[in-house]
Amino acid sequence: MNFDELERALASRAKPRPGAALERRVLTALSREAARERRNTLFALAACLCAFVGLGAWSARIGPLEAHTNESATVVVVSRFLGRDPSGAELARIPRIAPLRGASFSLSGPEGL
Amino acid sequence: MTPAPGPFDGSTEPSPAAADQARLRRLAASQDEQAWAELYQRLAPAMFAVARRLTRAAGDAEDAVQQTFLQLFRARAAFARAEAPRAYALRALRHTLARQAPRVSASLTEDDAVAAAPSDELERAPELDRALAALPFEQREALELKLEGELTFAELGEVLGVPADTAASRYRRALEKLRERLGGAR
Repeated sequence: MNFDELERALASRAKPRPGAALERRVLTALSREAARERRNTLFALAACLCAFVGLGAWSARIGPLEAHTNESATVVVVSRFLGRDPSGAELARIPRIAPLRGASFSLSGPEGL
Repeated sequence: MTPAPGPFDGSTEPSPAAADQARLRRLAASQDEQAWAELYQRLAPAMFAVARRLTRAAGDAEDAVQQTFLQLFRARAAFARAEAPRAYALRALRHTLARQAPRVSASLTEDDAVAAAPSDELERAPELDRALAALPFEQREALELKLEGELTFAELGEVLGVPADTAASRYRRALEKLRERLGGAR
């Protein structure tokens, strides 16, 4: 028996065929997976929207920050957030960026640098 | 199978094989259920045939095909970029089979390969099936993937994760061993 005959014999074996039940199973699983992905996308969009609205509300409460030193900007932000002046202990608990010596801080630009 | 035309072969029309691969890529990029139903029609027969030849039970083969389709769907962006989507799907199937049944892996010994053959079929198997079952697993795998998956040697190499020459030599060695066994039996 040469290779060609052997390959023909192998090709002529009864081919295992997937049944209709498998097709239904696979397509149902894919459909569920697509629905799960759509749901996840919606959740992610809703989470983004909530974060956006929350951030907007927070920034509206804080208000625009004019030029402040790093230290005083922290006080302004915290007092606007709290609705009162923060105590020294409260301020001490707020982590902040180490201030640049002699530099001022502004959201509109690096004034004084 | 006719190999896909190269970029410098002078042809302007894509070959049927290249057109088929392009169609598969377009379908794979979609999230549409109809597209995936067509993908199933095109890929599942070969995938199931390979899985059935390499697993002990039909249920294992069905589970492997279903799991592979789910993985392909989840990674459809990569699937749609695959140069040879048919080979990509068979490689995914091979990984699923290896995960599902550690016995059905490239590390199987010859004895294991005999044990992994469908036992009910072995009882009434003709000479050819017995000779196939006695092949080392990696040769049987190469042979079944090539024949049932209708792959080129380049694609077979991609599925097996080896160079095309190595894939071709595994296939040839499988044929030689089969010929020896069948010749010896007569």
